[in-house]
Amino acid sequence: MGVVCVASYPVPEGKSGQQIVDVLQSRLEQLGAEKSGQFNVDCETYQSQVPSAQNRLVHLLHNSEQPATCFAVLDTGTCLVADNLFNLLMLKLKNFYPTRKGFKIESKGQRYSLGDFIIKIGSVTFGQNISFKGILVEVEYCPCMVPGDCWDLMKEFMQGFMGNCVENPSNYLKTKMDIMYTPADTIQQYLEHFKTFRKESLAVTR
Amino acid sequence: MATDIQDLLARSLLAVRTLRSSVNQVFERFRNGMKEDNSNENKERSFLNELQQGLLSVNQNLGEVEKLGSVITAPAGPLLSGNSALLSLDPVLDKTPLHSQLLQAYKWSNKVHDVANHAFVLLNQNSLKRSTLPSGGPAAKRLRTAQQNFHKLPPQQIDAVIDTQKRMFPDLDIKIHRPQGTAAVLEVTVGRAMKIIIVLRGLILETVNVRGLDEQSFKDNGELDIWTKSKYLVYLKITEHACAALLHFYMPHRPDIAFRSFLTWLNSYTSLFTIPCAKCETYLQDNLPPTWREFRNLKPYHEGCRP
Amino acid sequence: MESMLAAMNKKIVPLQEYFLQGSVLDASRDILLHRLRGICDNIGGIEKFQDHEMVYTIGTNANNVLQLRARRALDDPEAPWLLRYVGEPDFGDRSKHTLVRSSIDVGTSDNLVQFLTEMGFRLDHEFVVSGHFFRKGRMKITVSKIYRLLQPGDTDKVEALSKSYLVELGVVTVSGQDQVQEEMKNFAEHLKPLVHLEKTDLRKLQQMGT
Repeated sequence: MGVVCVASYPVPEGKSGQQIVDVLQSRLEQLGAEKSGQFNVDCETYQSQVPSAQNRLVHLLHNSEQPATCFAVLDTGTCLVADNLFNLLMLKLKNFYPTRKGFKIESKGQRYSLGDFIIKIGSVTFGQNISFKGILVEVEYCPCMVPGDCWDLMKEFMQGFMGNCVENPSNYLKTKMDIMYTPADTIQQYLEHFKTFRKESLAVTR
Repeated sequence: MATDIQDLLARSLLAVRTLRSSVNQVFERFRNGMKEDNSNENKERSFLNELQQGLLSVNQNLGEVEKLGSVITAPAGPLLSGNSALLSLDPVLDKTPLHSQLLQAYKWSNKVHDVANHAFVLLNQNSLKRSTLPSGGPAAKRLRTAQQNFHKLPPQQIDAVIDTQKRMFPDLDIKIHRPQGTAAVLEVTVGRAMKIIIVLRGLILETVNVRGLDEQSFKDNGELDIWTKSKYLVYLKITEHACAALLHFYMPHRPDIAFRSFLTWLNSYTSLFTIPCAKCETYLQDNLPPTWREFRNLKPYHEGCRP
Repeated sequence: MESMLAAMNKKIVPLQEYFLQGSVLDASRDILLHRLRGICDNIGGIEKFQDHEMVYTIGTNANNVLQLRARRALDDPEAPWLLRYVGEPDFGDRSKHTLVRSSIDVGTSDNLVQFLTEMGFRLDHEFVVSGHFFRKGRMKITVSKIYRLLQPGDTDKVEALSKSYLVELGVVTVSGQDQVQEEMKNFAEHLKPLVHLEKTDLRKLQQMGT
């Protein structure tokens, strides 16, 4: 288990997401990366109807990198790491925490490995009609376990194929610089990006 | 009487030999066939003449051998031939191929000698040796006197030395295991960068194996896992560098100094991911961080940027 | 999510618990343990356990209440926490040999209590369970004593609730495996007359209590 940095790659005007994904993939292949399968990170949201905890949101995330795990994140920041049966448990709670319709968001795409790095380029799709919202690139450096030690190293690597789009670590990652990294931290980073995408799409529809 | 018999035997053996040679000549004549230079009739007649002469000589020789053979009588008493008679007593002589086995053994030992000589010449060309002592030739025999005992130190002494080193290096977390007997195996965690297994023989460093922090040091059955290589390229590269360091820091007459220098070199790896290369000032070259640390000044370099 | 529902439909997910309960006095516990050691699978010797269980509820409406159980091992702090949902067994069904109730068992990380309180659950009651457990095939048998916490949250100061041990025989498996009940009934026969494992009707116990 290494350190993961999730970054959003901006899609310039006039180009489709698929084109940008193809450009990034061809750059990686030129660097010598090998394809190692597909990946999928998805998120569903439940909203509370309990009087003691009004407007509490529970996000249920799954990561194909940890297939037997289900991550439940509250908007207070607590993240519970549980077995896959937790999904069924949430269904049992549907009287108290019904699903918020149309809030399913997921990032899926190709997974590459290059030396000790694992790179995933995902297209983010939103809601029922699978509309494309953006590109999330995830870079994992497997040998190191502390983000503070290898942030500069990873930034240099990402600049190699993404250009200068990542200057500083994300807000969540800044708080975890000196602690051992866990898969739950990856999920929190994804959630941060998903929230940003949702806000953008809400702003657009208004 | 004895000389008579010997004489008789010698003459009969000679007769047998002449018989054999004349028979050989006849068959050789047959094999060569007819000559080409004469005309046809002469050729055939000369060929037949020669054959006839050969067969006549064969006949003559055969008669001599028979005559001599009838004169020779079987010896009366036991032959006084000494120990060589014992060789003929072996009834299964045909089944014990003594002679051929002797020949094979001799050839094999000759070959081993030759191959060992060649190997010595080739291996001598390698200049990375653990000792400066001569390992072959007359000089080696002269130096057999002073025996080093640093690989046979008692375990308490080794523990004491390791404890003093622990205090000098706060970033290195050293655990001592003794999986088999008194040879110590150290499990050293270097800061937050890597874990290294060092096998000691007394106080002399034998082998090293570098792995990541998340890789297991123990096998499923609870034993210390010494040989499994890391699954990360970085640590495979550092294992190679550590083997080179082992050879560099080898000092059989002062092993504690060697151990301390090795640990100092190892301590410089706490900055494995955080420091860029001293020459090209980038973090990554070929997707690897600077994995080489100079032995003298501990500066980080990529493997390709090494001075 | 879709794969979970698909697995549920294909009846791979273990969702039902078949169980029988009985009790035995303190004095007879050792004989029962000897008997169980003899007839059960013996892998690794006697296994003891000591767990702290907290029961959380959500919902104030009498009809709309959900209860979840959070359990942690006191003797092994590294073990994952267990989050359990158990449903009501069907007491009226006389055709079955055992009680059947639905159950969902989820292993979680150790911030479970914080998670549940933030979701709106509140602590209903808690207790400590301590005893031995045995296995026979896929059946799990526990002989345990339940302790009450004298101070909430302090698991060292406990007091036993009764002078007897609770014996439970249970199997968690997929739904529709009724032949497991035969196995359980046969096993219960082995333990008579030391302990009678039967379908205890909890509603009668609750009526007795009130």
